[in-house]
Amino acid sequence: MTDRAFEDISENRALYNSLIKKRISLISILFAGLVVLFLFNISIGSSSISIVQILRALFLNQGEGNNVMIVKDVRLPMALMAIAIGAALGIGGCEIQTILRNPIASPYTLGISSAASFGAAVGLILNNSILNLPEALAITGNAFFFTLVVSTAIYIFSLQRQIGKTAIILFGIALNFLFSSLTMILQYIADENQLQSLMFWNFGSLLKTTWTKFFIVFAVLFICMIILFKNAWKLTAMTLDDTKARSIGVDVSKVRRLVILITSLISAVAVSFVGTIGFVGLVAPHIARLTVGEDQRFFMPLSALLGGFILSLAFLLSKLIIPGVILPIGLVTSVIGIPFFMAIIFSKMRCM
Amino acid sequence: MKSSKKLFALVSLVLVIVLALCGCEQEEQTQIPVNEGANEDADKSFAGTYEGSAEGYSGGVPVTVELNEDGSIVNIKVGDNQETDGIGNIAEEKITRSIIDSQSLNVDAVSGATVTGDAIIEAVANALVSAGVGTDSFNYVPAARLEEAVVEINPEAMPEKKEITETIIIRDAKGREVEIGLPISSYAISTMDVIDYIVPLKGEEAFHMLVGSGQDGGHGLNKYAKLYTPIVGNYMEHVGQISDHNAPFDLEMILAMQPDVLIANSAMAAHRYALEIEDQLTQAGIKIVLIDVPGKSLKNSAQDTMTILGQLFQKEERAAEVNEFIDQQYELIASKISKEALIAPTVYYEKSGYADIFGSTATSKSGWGLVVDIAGGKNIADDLLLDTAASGGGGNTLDPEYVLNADPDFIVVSGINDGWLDSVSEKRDCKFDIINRNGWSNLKAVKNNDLYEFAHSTSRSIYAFYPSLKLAAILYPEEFEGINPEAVLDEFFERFTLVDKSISTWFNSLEMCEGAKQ
Repeated sequence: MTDRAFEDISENRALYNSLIKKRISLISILFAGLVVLFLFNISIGSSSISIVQILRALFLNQGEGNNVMIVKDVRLPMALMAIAIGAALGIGGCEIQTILRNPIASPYTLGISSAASFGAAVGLILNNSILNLPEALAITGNAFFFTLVVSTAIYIFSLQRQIGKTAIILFGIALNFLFSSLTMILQYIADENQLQSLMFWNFGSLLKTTWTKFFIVFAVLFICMIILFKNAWKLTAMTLDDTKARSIGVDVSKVRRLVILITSLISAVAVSFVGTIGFVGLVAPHIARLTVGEDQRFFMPLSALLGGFILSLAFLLSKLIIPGVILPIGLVTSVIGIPFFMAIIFSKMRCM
Repeated sequence: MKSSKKLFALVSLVLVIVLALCGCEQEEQTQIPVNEGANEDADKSFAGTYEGSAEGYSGGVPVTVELNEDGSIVNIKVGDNQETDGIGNIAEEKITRSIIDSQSLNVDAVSGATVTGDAIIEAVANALVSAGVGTDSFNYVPAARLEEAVVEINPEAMPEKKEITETIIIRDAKGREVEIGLPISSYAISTMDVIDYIVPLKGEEAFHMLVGSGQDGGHGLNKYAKLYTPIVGNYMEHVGQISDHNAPFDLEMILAMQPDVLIANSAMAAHRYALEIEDQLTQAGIKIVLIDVPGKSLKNSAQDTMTILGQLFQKEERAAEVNEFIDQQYELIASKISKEALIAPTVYYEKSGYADIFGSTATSKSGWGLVVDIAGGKNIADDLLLDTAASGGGGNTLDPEYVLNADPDFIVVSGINDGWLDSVSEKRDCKFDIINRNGWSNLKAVKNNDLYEFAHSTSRSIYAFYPSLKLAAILYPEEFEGINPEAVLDEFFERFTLVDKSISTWFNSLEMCEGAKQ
């Protein structure tokens, strides 16, 4: 569409091109920043390994003691996981906000995080694995199972005719409360140690990342991104109200259903592997929208990039704040996320 | 665009705050290099007064040191400070006197006021350095502070790997069969208290072989460091923190420290966290051994653990010796209270209760309920909670009315004035706010001063026989006449540990904290 004949460049076309250029350069800058954060994340950890050692471990596969394993099997998947999870949450938030046209919607509004939390509680407190997995995978498995339950419930709900966006949000909030209260019942019968473990799970942590887990998250993210990207123009049209969108040929309820399915799948995977990490899904799309607007061709990748960027930054900070100790990443994201969010409220107060 | 400027300003503000917070964490502590300021210029006269100060329990402790010409300490004055009155004042007097008498900074701390004591010593050392005398001739050893006890890892100090001469298969507490090459040269533990089971086997070497430990809610890593560094040397320079309190293990740290074996106790979900990383650890040649104390049976779990560790550390005879001692204590209790004619007194147990906060209790099947059961008490929570699924037969909070109605003969609490390893921190006045609850002043137990507290973590420690014996002696004074639980505890410390029982306040009673009663 953009590469039409160059000879009749009108003033508008020039303006459009410069706008696109600006956006592309913005995305490139952010991408470069993300790469820098990624490199920092590989080189900083609870044990101190020199840069030379890290490079040797990475490229020559040799090093003292367990250094190769530390760099390749611990730090590398964790650093990549931070980016993948951040991107997944960013995209999830961006699309949910788009199709529901609600600025405070995020994957969590639909009850996905509280379902994951309940699944973890079933594993931690009742020592029960719904999918009959071995003990080490029981909690992730349970969390994933219940997030899928919620996703399916929302999808089936949205299949009905004449279901508007408000109804979907209300249904999500109802599910949210349902699972929170179920978790509370479990908490009542839990002992102190179980409570503490559950709390820790809820903080979110990248420490348990393995290559397998990363590849699962990455595969889901990649497939979902492609599907969403194919629908980029339709999604952009969805920012208009339903009637207008329909008038330019977008099947509003079909797109809404598809996107709900995809975003809840993305967030389910993200949340069940690392625990509930707050605010990324809310903040990343807002910043992206402020800088590039609603055009999904840029809005979506930028939300993903920003999500990855914020989570990588939080991960880096979580390793730096207390040397030798890795703080739960959810704590750090909330602490740096809340002021971000407040800033957005202040700057957008007039239009709300 | 205006709005994005505003946004940018706010974001940078946030970043500044975050960075400032990071900065606070790493603020340079004033450390005095031990060998600095040596007396090079012999002709110089040091006569005069010098000032120094150091961080104490609450705020700074300033001192003024008076020196004579040859640099000996003539007088020490401790300035205004906020340290606890009473014990703090005693510490000031005692320590300053012994520094002057011995002309040495290597003096014994006053028990219960180690923090204040160390602060005075550090402040004097400061003053000596500023005087140019230096601390060389005064045998100054900087005390490890609680908050900074976790020191930088020194790769040189790591225990040397020994050659493996045999392999054995150990059956651990979960019935897993673990193949381990012996002798092991280093190990890591899930929380510091596990080392109490290893010290009886290996003595000081237990610390030299330790390369990693998890943190616990009571800052165990720091407390043990504070307690044992003076005895066994700076072992913390080869110990990495491998997990936070009740958190998953830090795989990277374990891999970096390369222990031969990771010993994980069941407390704080460490079993699950350990098994989660089993694959990676096996790949790196690190074995996992699970132990379970207090487990389901308090009477045997410590001994089972000792047996496993005895095999692991090739000290089976020594382990048997410890087990025999512990067995004897439980047999003693059982023999005294087995008589049919005895009517069991009723006991109510509560954890960390205050007047307004109702703590959880425990039935005869879990935690401190096990101790009450062994000591022959009739637990009032059993009737209500033992069979309910909600509590899993374990702990829960009882209806306050039920407790009043049951009017127990004895009340046992834990975790209120917790005295576990309190010799390394400042002792607080003990308080039992719990008796100010509505109606509690009329309870039999409160009227008769029959309210007792034990240090909470002892029930899962190797010393669990002590609260069992002590409580039995309280519940059945006649049967246990002539038996001194403290002496038994002393004997255990004497025979099997590196310290003595003064490390903790094991026991408090309402009578001992008379101030709590109005």
